Amino acid sequence: MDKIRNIFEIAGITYKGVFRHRPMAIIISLSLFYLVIPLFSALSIRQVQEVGATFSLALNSFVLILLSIAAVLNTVWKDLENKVVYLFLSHPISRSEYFIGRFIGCEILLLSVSFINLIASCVVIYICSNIYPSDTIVSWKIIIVSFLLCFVKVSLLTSLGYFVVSISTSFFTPFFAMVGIYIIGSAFQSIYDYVINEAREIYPLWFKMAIKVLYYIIPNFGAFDAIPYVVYGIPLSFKYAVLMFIYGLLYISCIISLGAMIFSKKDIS
Amino acid sequence: MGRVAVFVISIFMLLCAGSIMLNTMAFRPYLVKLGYLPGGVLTKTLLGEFRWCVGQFYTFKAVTYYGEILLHKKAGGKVEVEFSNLYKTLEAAARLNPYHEDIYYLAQAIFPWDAGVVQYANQILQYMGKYRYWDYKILFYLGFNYGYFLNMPDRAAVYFEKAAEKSGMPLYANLSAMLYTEAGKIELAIIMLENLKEKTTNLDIRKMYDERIAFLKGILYLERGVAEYRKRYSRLPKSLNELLVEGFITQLPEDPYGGEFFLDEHGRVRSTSRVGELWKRDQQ
Repeated sequence: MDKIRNIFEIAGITYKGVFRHRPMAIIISLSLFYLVIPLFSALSIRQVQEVGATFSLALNSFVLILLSIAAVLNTVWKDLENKVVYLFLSHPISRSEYFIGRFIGCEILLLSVSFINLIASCVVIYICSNIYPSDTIVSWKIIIVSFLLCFVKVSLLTSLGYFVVSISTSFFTPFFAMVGIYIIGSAFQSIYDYVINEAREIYPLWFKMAIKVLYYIIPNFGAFDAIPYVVYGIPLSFKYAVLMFIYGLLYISCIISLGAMIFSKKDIS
Repeated sequence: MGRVAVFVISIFMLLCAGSIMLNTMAFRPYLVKLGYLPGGVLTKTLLGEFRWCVGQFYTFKAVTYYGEILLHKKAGGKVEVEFSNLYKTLEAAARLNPYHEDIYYLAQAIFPWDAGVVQYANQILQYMGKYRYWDYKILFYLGFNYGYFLNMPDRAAVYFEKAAEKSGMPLYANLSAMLYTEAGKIELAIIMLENLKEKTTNLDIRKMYDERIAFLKGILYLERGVAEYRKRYSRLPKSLNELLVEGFITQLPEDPYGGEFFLDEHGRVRSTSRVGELWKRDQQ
């Protein structure tokens, strides 16, 4: 019970501390771009609602990804760099509680920003759909599901960032690792489809096997992309959404528990 | 005091430079304005979830580029339109976001009519049709292009059948019958253009459709007059004025493109402007 209380205390400190960091506040203020989306969407010939929805979802994802990178660098890495970590660890809390608490604090922050962006997106989509009524009926349920999927995706990226911080002390390693993992993770489904299906004749068996093995290791960020389902009314099955949630949560659980184990043994002197 | 003077002078010079820049940018070559936009497999893969909005952004570029050209032409300017570059832009947009309706809509509005390259529109329509599997309008446009521009009524009929099936509107299947007469073809073209014009928000593009529809309605009106004249006298009129004198038509319609309608040697109504029937370059 004490462990959980400790974790949530650290999480609370993380959440409150975020707003004192100027870069984080600047990133959150990027959400103000929601104000210009209806103006930009009005340029479309007859897809005003669709453009409004696409840019709203993309802006949410962009803000959350930047926030995730900044959160990783401004919490555990900065604590290690400024030796603030000793202040935390001088209290009766374990390193893994501190590590998980910091992660949960970031998650609460990401969830709060997601919620604000969800409201902003709904308003934007509503305005756009009134500027030019579309053939596609807006499904608010699928919009909420897509925001949740985006949140799980960014949480997964954050967990990977925390994992890298647990094994590295450099500033650049977590930063470039997160950017690299995000790009590879977003592209890997397309690479897999190309190598295994479209160009299966070109590549040797060992290469295809390697791609299959990597498919299980590399996080599949592309699978969380629900933009076409929301924007163009393509049916999104409940089973698919649940599967993605489970996949994301299991991946996060594996990575964070491994990260906490490594951080417990890390030499921080 | 000195710093304030520097600031005021800088502001003044910046405003002057802005005005010069505005004029310079207005006379950039059109190719530069459209630019090269990457849209290959690598771009699509690297952009990940952001490819949808980048595809929409490419479409905006194409819309604004063409809108600017329409304005320039309206003002009497002569512009060499980079149709090939425009096609590449729309093709890249389609690869990044194959669900975005504006792409095929713009391709259908421009390439067969103004560029005289039906194939450009058909390629984009066929590619996007694989993704927008529910969209019967793509099939309707493909059917129209094959029937009206490429004179392939059999192939057109297949697409119209599919459009009828997909839309649940059997009327589409009957459209292929219109392709067997000249007047029917023009009527079909008017239906198609009205369909494209419907709910178009861009005013320049709406105006383009209005002109095109007015042009075709003028031709249709005169073709009907010629057909009646032929029915009564079993010969062709010598000129369109003869239709007016004999009372088959009440007035000679105006060509919105600034030309004049005339009868060719086969008794077909043509225009000296030729702008509205540019696509016929391919067939002549």
